[in-house]
Amino acid sequence: MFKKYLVGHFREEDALLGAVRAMRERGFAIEDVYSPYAIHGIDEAMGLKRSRLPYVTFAAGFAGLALAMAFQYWTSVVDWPINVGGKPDNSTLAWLPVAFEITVLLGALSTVAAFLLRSRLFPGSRARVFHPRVTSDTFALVLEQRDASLDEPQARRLLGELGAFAVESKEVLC
Amino acid sequence: MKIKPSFTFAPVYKRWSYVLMAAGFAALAAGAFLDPARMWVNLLINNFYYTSLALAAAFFLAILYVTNAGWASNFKRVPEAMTRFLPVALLLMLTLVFGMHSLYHWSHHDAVLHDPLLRHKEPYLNVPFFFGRMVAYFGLWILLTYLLRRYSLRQDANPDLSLHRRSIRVSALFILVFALTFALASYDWLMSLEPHWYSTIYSVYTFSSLFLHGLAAIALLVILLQERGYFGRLLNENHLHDLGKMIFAFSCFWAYIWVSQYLLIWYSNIPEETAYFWVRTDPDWLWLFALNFALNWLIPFLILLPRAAKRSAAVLKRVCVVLLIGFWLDIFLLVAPNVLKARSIGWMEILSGLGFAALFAFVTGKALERAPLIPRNDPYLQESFHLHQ
Repeated sequence: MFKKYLVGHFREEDALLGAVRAMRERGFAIEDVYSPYAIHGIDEAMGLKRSRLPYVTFAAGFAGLALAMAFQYWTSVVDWPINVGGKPDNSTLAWLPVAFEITVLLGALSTVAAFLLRSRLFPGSRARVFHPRVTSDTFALVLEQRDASLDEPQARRLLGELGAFAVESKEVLC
Repeated sequence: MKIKPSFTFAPVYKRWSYVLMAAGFAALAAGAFLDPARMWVNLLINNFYYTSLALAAAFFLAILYVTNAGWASNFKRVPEAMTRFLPVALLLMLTLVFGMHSLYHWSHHDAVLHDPLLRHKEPYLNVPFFFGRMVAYFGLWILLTYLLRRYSLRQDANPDLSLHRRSIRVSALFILVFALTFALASYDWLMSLEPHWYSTIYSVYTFSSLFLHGLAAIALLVILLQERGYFGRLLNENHLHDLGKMIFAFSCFWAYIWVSQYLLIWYSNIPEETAYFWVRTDPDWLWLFALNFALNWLIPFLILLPRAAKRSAAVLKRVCVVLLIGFWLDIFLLVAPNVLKARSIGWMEILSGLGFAALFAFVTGKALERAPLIPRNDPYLQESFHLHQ
């Protein structure tokens, strides 16, 4: 499916930051920003919410802990108890290394999987490239054009005033 | 908002610290008559506690210097002031001269005579060498922390970078000296309470506890100062976040070392080694043993897990208080079960603990008062003012 976007290209990081703030103040919803490197303060300027990824990590890690403890309990107490040096079958503290490893493993793998899925980084997904130069030396501010509230002439004029060296409409396959 | 340039020790806090110090001293004095062994246990616990906090502050500073870290420059006068407790700690430690026989089994001549192991260890574990080493450790610590503090204070008048470079060299030396002497000091003062027991991870354990609780003490003092209007906007929630992250990480490190020691002894199951845990998991001590793990790891871990908690002064402050109580319990469990037959936490422990806390706060407060709170010529000062993520 194709979507139409209005893209403003900038040469300076500061101009982009200022444009993001100014456009949001005037009520424009910013679809995304493309930059060759991480820009300090851009998250706040775009009003991005904090990532929910830690909740995935916590839930998966906790599941791993419960799973590992339950499995070790089942093998060493229920299914096949073996007397080792007279120690009790239910030696909970001795299960910690395995439980710890499974917690970390499940937590880490689930985090990576959730991140890749959420960022649409999986085989067959298409990269949305608004301009090849955003991977090199320019910055792009992207507004979704199908948004009914977008006043295109005004947006174009504003982006130009805010320092964009080019403003273009672009159709991109998502 | 105007920044208060230096700390003033309000009379009301001074009065309270006098009252608590007097109460602590009275409790110890009464204890000397009623139950000398328990009194010496209390003195040793508190001496080790506050020596550790002062050393942790010095270690924190040394790490900042050698790694060229700038984020903590604005509050570095707080750990600097904490190191000023070391001379007081030496005097208090030296009073153990009178308590050796109550605390250390190996200090009895006839016990050594009839014990091959103690005879073997006698060249190291004897009273004169014990105190000789103690003075040597403290001598090195006091000298190096004195130099760190002096260079930092002289820098206030002299913006030249040479003083900063000298601080870096002293810090590197301190880290080496500290690693060796603190390991030996924990063998001498705590581990030798039980001279028949072996644990090769012991000094790592005491170090992990020292640094975790030193960070908690630094964070607590910084938050208390900030709440009273010091620092103003020169210290923001990102500093608390960084301190919170370090506390969180070292709480996990402490738990990791705790489990490592327990697990290896549990697996190998050698009677000499398991005796240590046998005593501490006795029904009389077991709940304290479990509480120790909860106060120093489980509670701080669960509370500090979310990002917002580490950035909140109110939450971080409470976690630091939990940790500082946990530190006392941690040392109590290292010391008391070796010397005392039964669990003993009562008026003597509480009053002497509060008395020492007041003494430490008093010495730190006095040292903080003597110098400007913001080190104006620290090369990283601007960086720390603008700490962000």
